[in-house]
Amino acid sequence: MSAARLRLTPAIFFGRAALAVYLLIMLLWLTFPVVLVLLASFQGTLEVSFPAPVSFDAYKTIPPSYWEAFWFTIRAALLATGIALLVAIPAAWAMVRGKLAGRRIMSNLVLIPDVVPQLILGIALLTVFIPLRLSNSFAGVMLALVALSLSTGLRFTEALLEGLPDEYEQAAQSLGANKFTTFRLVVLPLIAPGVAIAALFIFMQNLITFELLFFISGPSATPIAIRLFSDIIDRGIVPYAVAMAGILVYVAIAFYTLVAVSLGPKYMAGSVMSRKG
Amino acid sequence: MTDITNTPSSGLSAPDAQDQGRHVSRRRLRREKTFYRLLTLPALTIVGLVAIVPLLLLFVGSLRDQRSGLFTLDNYVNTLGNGFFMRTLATTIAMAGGVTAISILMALPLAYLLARRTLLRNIVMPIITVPRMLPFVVIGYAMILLLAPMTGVANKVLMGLGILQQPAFILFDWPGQAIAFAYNGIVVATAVLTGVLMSVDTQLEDAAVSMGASKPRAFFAVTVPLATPGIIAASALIFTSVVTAYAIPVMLNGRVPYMVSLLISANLLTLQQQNLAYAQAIIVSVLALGVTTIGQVVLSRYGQRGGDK
Amino acid sequence: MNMSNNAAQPVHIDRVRKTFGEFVAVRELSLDIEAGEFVTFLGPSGCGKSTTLKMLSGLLPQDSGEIRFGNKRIDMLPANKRNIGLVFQNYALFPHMSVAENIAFGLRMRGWSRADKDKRVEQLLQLVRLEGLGNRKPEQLSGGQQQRVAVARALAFNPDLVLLDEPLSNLDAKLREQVRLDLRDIQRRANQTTIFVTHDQVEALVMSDRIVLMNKGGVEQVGTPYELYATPATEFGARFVGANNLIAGTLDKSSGAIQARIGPETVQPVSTHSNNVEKDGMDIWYCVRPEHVAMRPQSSAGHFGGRVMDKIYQGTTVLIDLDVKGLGTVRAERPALEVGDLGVGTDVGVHIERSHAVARLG
Repeated sequence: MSAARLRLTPAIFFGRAALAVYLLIMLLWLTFPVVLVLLASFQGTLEVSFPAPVSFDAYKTIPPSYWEAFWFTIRAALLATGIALLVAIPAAWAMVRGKLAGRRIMSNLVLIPDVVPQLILGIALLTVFIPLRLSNSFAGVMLALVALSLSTGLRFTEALLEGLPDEYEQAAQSLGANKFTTFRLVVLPLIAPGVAIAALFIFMQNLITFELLFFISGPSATPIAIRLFSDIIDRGIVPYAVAMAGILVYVAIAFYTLVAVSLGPKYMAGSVMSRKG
Repeated sequence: MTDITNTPSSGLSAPDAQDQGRHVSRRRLRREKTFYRLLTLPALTIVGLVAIVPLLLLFVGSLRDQRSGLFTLDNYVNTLGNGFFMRTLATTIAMAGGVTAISILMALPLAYLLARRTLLRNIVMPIITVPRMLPFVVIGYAMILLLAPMTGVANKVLMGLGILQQPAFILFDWPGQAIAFAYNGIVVATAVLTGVLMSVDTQLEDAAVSMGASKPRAFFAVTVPLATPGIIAASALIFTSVVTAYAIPVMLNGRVPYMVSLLISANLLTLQQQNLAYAQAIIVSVLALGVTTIGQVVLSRYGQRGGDK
Repeated sequence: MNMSNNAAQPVHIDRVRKTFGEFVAVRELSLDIEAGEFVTFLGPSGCGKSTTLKMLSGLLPQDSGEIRFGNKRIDMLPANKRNIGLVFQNYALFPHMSVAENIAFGLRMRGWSRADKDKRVEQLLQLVRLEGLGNRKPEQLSGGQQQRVAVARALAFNPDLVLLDEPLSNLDAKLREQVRLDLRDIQRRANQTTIFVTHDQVEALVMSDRIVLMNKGGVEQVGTPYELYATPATEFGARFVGANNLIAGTLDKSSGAIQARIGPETVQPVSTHSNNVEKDGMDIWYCVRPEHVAMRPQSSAGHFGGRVMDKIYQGTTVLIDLDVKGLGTVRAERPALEVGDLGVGTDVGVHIERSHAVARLG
């Protein structure tokens, strides 16, 4: 058996070699954006060369407007995540446990912002937001993100609650707890770890949302992704923009580390989030 | 047990008490339902106001003439009769289809390896997760750093090796866009397919091998069919994301392949033909939702036939 | 320490009914349970026993009928107002709470003071013999220990009734035998009116004061374990409880005594249950427990002639398949010592020590 495995026929050799080349190419392919952005951000030029002196100039010259956009995005994303979960968790609980007529329809309705292409929802929001003076405002961006987060949040929490056997709730009730107490003392603590992960994912999704916000943002409400985008249109690529892109890479790495530490890396594949591009 | 005041313990039971009891419990159940309905109300209100109403207004707008405000199908007729729009739509669909096919083909072997090799998966998972947590714009930046004609890494390396005599100008042309989309497509496909393939029981393949199938044969005869729902889901996801992408087509905008999203935004923002843009947006959404729906339907059919889960 | 539930009340279930669409889950079930009694609902899955339990606990509204504790009607109360202790099949211990917090949950809902709660939790931990484990999390306990915590939690607030839903099915066979006795012991010491639901007839026979045998949403028989075992009321009962040889025959009352006629010449005396078997000449099953089939030397008179067809050694007893003249194939179960080295093919005399008849339908 082992002898047979050790014998290296040409076919097996070339098969192995082809596989190795394929893996190498794929790994290079998958890593190049992060690697290039980080290299460029530390060289302070737009021409990545190797070896090159390390310089933090690009980071130092990030203009205030970029930082404003960055913190604007963080604020809007945080607030939207919070509001969305506050609304989505009770709704998911009612939908999963309430045995309400038309439950499918209701949960599909809430999923609409996630199903309709963001570009189209963005255009639709623009037409409504202009007369309401919500376009080009923090509130407008935040509301759009709340709608999107609500969909993701509901899908997450519905899955969490469906995975939670309803015996816990029945036990609490038989012991004398009313619906509200059951929810507070039993349901919420049991789904809390899952909700925390969901919150992280939703926050990240809000941070990188582009198409939905493109039309309704403006000079006084610019998410960071749109700031980076409009500058490349107006000015072409500039070193400090690459540095800001590098900062977004750090945020993504921090996010991955957080999730991986709390879940273990195997859950990153095929998670609920995988369904979203 | 001796002192029964309410109702007799058996035999003749008072029908009034029965009815009253039923009435009380029915009222309680109704109250419970109302409680649950109230809990769904905030979510439904927000989605209603921030998604459903705007989308309906968009649809109504697409049915109106911009000048007169009268209801008409002109916007649709003009759009569908417009050669430029239809050509652009065809280019977009071709681009999306090609990118989808390439992404799935490139990602499938990798996903299979990741699903079966835990060590490799632990190494590669962060590599495919981090890019998905970046705005697409950042990927666009990387594309420019890679492919720019003079300064791009790819051109410099290839020219340095003597493979290219002149820099390749592919960045602001369709290959540049295709490469950017394919990057995203491969990342998405790898993540989704790895998850799906992990859920396919390895014993099934072992069983096929034990019955005389070669390893590749077992993979194509057993694993791929079981993973098909995942492949369909990933394809629909990649296809729609390309059709409705905006950032990359603008950043890496070339002369020839005008993507349909650019056309819509031009009508909306610069040409001031909102109602026409609405109709075009509706057409694109129908296309995107149609693909997703077809994927779902095929998926559910397949799931029934496969009979697993 | 007084563990007994002084306020123990009788429970009355009066013509309770439940349908799911066309499907009748429970049809007109009536039962009076005495205070402190241990009653088991026994039946195969889908017989309506779990549905009945859910209606009693308030987790499922009944279509019609009444449930009363003493003379207090409770069926219109929500589950959290019924004062019923519920033990789930998978225990449903709150994983985020310690054992003590789990047991105290019902007390907390009833607004007990901290000191009272602590004292009561201690009492219960003693009752279920888990002293000192109050600070553990449920996941740190074995299956048997978790089961006892679930029982303690259900008993803690002095419920009017405790419902146990197949609580032994997740334990391995050896542990199950021990826990059966423990559970019964705890129930007696607490003098707790209890309804136990199971599909396992041995559990039902070992533990219950009375058994309610259910099938297809209806009650087949209510009686003590002995009654159910010795005198099944229906064919279902004869088949479901214990192993039985069922031999087709007819009822013969021509001689005044109640007898079963099998084939042209065999007539045997039988016991019957109430009104199930009455008409002369009606179709019956002639039921014989394997342990009531005795073997004698072939020469002795007054017995059936039989031949040993197969022998299955079980340790303390031996199962013997006999081909009996006039009866057909009959299985006997005899002590191993008595059987000795009786070989397959040996001719023996067969004596039926006891037999019973139930109506044969269809």
